[in-house]
Amino acid sequence: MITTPENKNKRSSINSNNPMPKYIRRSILALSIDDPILEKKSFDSWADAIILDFSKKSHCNWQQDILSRMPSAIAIAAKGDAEIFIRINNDFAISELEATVFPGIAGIILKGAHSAADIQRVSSALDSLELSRGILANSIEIDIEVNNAACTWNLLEIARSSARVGIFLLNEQELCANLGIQTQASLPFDPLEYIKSELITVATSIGGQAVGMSYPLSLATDSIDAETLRKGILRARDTGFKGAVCPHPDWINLCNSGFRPSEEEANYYVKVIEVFAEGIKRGMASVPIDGKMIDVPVDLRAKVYLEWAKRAKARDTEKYQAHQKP
Amino acid sequence: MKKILHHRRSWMIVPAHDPKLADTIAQYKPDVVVLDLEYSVAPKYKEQARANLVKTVSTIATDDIEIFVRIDKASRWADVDAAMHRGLTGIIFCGVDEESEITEIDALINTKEKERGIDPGHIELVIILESAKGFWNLSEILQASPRLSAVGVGRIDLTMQLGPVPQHEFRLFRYLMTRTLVAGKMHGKQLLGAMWRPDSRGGVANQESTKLAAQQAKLMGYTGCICATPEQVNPMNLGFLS
Amino acid sequence: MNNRVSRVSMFVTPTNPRFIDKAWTRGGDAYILDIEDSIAPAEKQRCRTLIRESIDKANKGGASIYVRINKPFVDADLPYAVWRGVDRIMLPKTETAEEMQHAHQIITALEKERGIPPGSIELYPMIETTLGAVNIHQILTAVDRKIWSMGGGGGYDMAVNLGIEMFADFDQYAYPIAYITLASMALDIESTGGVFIPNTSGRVDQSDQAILQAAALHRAGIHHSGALHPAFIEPLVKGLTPTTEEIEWAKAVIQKFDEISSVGESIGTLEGKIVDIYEYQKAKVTLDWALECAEKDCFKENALKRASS
Repeated sequence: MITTPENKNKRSSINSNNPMPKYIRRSILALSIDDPILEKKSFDSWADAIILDFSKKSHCNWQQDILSRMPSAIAIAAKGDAEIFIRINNDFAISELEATVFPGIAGIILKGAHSAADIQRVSSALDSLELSRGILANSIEIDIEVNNAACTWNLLEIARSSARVGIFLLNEQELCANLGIQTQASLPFDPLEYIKSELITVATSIGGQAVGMSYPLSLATDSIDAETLRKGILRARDTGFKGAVCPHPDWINLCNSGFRPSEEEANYYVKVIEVFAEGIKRGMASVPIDGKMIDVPVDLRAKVYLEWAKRAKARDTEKYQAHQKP
Repeated sequence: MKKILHHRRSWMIVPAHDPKLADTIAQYKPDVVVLDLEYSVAPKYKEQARANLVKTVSTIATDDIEIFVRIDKASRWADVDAAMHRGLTGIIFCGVDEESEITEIDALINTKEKERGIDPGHIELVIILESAKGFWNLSEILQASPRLSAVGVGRIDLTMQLGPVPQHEFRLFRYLMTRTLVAGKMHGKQLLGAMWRPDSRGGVANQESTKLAAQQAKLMGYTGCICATPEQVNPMNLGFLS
Repeated sequence: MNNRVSRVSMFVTPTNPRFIDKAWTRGGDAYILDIEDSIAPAEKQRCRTLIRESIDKANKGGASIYVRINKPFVDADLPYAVWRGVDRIMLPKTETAEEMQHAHQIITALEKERGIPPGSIELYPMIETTLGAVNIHQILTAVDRKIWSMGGGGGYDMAVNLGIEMFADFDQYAYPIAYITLASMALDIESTGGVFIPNTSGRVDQSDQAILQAAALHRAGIHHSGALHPAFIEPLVKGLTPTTEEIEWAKAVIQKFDEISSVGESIGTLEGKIVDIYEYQKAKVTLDWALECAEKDCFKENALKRASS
């Protein structure tokens, strides 16, 4: 797929030997286009990505209504340089796409898909919309909001159904409800541990990435104290999630600083790369640091991590610059 | 097919040849009685157990008690034949490996329904997974018969020889519970199983650990479980209580 | 004769005389002659030419010999890796069935050319990426060449692929490891995966960690493992071998089960514990494994005697 300025896709240019992460989408905030202070909320949030939701008015032609309001909503939500996504319900996907797909969006979040056929249907609809609305062909991503058993079971087929598929978002509340998992009580383990790990594995296997949070914060709807949240984000990151959908704007700053390597880690990896390079010079392929073995994959991971840190910082700079504009 | 899935919490195993089974049922009042032709019936009682079913199936079933028969995979054809009488709600088939086994049993049940004057499609089929092949082929298996009403995670620590891991679980246990949940829900089946822990599962689980295993399974989307002993009926009912 | 017992397999670098010359004294069941990540790029060609002579150095103590080749250099590596005396070729970062088929064809031709019994060398796919993990079933069924045991799905390369820090206190590879384990078991391949043993220090050289690891694997019912440091060898060889008590218990269970079976019963008790078909099957596995371990130990002992005399 091709990166263009108008679709604001924060895609990686790094090659397959240096694969992660494809997108810097650490914090994702959902907002409604009906929100009277959408512009302020978007701008002040500092979110990497914003999902726009809409409601269908019953007394008028909802499609015309949304169609007339969506382009400006996209423009004002993007003022803080967040990537913009529209959330589409799989059951009404085609009519919703017609009302919402405009230049300026990075992708659509497809919620409630069950199978690869659902994705293919949406993908063909996007083909025509891109053509008719002057959007670069194949530039709009399809991102999958996983909220039901069939979607979970068919995850790999779904991931492989279209080159547009980018990220996977876990809607834990709805998935738990669909699976009959009780969310109000606590278990000594995460009931979705294997599903989360599957999401991350499958997403990564197609060069995409997964967005989610660790248990039990993943089920939180309220604001959480900063220390608990920081730990939760660290665990989510070390499971392989590259960001989270933030149920509360409080989360955004911590997600932005947490879904990336810390300063301390970055410094350690600089050392790893130096020590390994020296080892190579001396003809060794593996050198120890404090009993840990440093060899090719460890060196590679150090480079991936530093690249990730660099790109996260670059993203912060972009957003900062957008916030300085009058 | 009548659907009262949420009431089927405790599935009590009683050997089909047990002369005191009526007393046991009256005493423990499980949601479902499972007349066993499998593990709890030694070879020398097998014929007697099969022969007993004609009488027991029809006399024990009441409005409150549903009767299932657990068949032995190795002798499943003869066991289904022996079990199919008016009053029977369903067949429990443990250790399914692939869908063809289900289509075959489904056809046999069809024939027996006709022969014995049971309403077509009345007899349910419950499958309990006990092998890696079964878990691998899960989605195909679940689509193999419209009779299939519930799917369970069985004695996998024993049948698949999955020992305990440092997290105080059996190896792969939570993964297989999760995989079964996802496939079962996708196809609209009741989920049977409990979060059994090493040293306290199946026949040796006490009341307290049984209740905990049921409670945790309920939090994970499961709504009932096989009771290896009658003493597990009450804790299972409590653990799965909504 | 040698067998497939590999309670511990350890990487050795053929280019380093300090490692390769001493390996046979360390007591490992198998040594992996590495041409991949423990060999610096400039040393790869020299390493290839050393493989053949390294086989006879590393197996002097009765160990099996594996060779790990490079994913980008399969064609270049295999002619230097396929020799009589090599039990397993390890194909790193395997991701597709095609990669297996490609390596299989080359190995088959080399076996023929070099008078090695056809199909006798195992082709072992190392699953070290998410793509390899999700394709595991196709990979394991790609070629007609027996795979004896299967693990993988975690480790250093998977961490790179997932972009995660390593050595967390929780299982970071829950799904890939479990999925590979289930696929292997469904194909009747002995599985070595599915056990998470925390190692937050990330050290690979401490034998107390090895003892914990051995105990955990043994309890979980796993027979094979790997190591990066010789300090891990002895604890793993010892810890994954059935103990005398376990063997005696297994014999008693089998005897008891035979007794109850002979009178048409199926469940009995022994010292207050249930004896049934499952305990019987477990006991048989214990005895079979004990026998295989004893064979391997005997083979190693004789080899050591010959090498020392």
